[in-house]
Amino acid sequence: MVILLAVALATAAAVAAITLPGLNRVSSTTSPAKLPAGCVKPADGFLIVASQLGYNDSVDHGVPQNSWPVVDVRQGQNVTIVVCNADPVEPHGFQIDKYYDSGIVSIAPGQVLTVRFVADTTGTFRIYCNIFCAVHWAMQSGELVVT
Amino acid sequence: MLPFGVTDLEFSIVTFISALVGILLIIGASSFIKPRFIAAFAFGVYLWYFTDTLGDANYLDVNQGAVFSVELVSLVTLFAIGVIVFFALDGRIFTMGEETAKYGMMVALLAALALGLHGFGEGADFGYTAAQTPSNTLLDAFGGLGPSASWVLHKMFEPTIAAACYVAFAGVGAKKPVDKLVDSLTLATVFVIPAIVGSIAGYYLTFDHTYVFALGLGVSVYAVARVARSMFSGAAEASSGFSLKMAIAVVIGFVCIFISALLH
Repeated sequence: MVILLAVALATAAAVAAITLPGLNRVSSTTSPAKLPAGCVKPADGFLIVASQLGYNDSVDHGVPQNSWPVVDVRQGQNVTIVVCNADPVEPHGFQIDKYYDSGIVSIAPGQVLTVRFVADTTGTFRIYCNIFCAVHWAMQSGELVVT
Repeated sequence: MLPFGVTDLEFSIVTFISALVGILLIIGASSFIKPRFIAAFAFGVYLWYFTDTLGDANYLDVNQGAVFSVELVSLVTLFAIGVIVFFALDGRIFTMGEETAKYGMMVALLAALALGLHGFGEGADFGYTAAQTPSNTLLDAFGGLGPSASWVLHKMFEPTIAAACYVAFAGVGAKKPVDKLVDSLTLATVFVIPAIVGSIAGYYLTFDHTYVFALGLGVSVYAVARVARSMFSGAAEASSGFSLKMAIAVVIGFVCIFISALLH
């Protein structure tokens, strides 16, 4: 009885989980990711969109050989980066060496993260995903360049 | 977009062979390594397995803080249900009799299924990426040799936990080689089927895979509970040297799957 109840609950929860985010047929061609609500480039800031194509379509920009995306700022600048997960199926991480590297952040499908900091140290700092996903390799080559 | 048929066939074959190799290695090692040390190795593998799957389950939404959203409650509920269902199944099986070799195989099968269920989410990740990728080859779509090798290795190490249950509970020492092979094939099949079904689902359907991982995380607790028990069955050998060997086996298991993750 307990097992039947548990299985029924699990089934109901799984069905709810599937229907909550929407059950859609995948298009037959690669299509631009649909941006979640609130996924807007801030004034004087930067927008990074995570999807199955990496950060800002990094798979189309020659990663991991090339750096992408590259965020250029001045020392002392107040930096705002809006990071959206436009991937409907997987969470993605977001880290910036030194500036945003606590390691505990992950962004669920459809969620938006706003990162703010003061670029007080010059140098080149890696931007990368810190959780495993199917396109993890494509999210390891971003750069923050502070001059 | 990669074509479904060939892509999924390649994925299924690679995943199945990886799992089978891992299981056979453990069963082969049981000829000269005591089951409790094999269990300790598997426990080490599980430590990484749990961490990895928790990340895939988006840390059960703990990053969002105490907002008690539908998503958070669903994730935690699925985790709890996963734990309860497999322990309940185990209880049903072992009220039937002692842990003989017959029922011991059931422990290993349950463990293989428990560990394999998170593979539905991984398979769905694979299928969705295959359907969305602009790449023309499977290797390119998943980042080349490193990430592909990572997949093979981690699918080899994960079912070693089920194989450790098999070694500990199924009376492996008394079995004929052909029976061990049949059991290995069965365990690998049970472990891999959710990943194959998931890859089909992920290719054609768009849904949030996080919930699948939350359920998979919960059910996997059953497997580690069984493994942990066999690590400490019988206290006759308890000594500082014995404990040290056990600790080393745990570390080796953890490092093995950790190294495979480094390639990802």
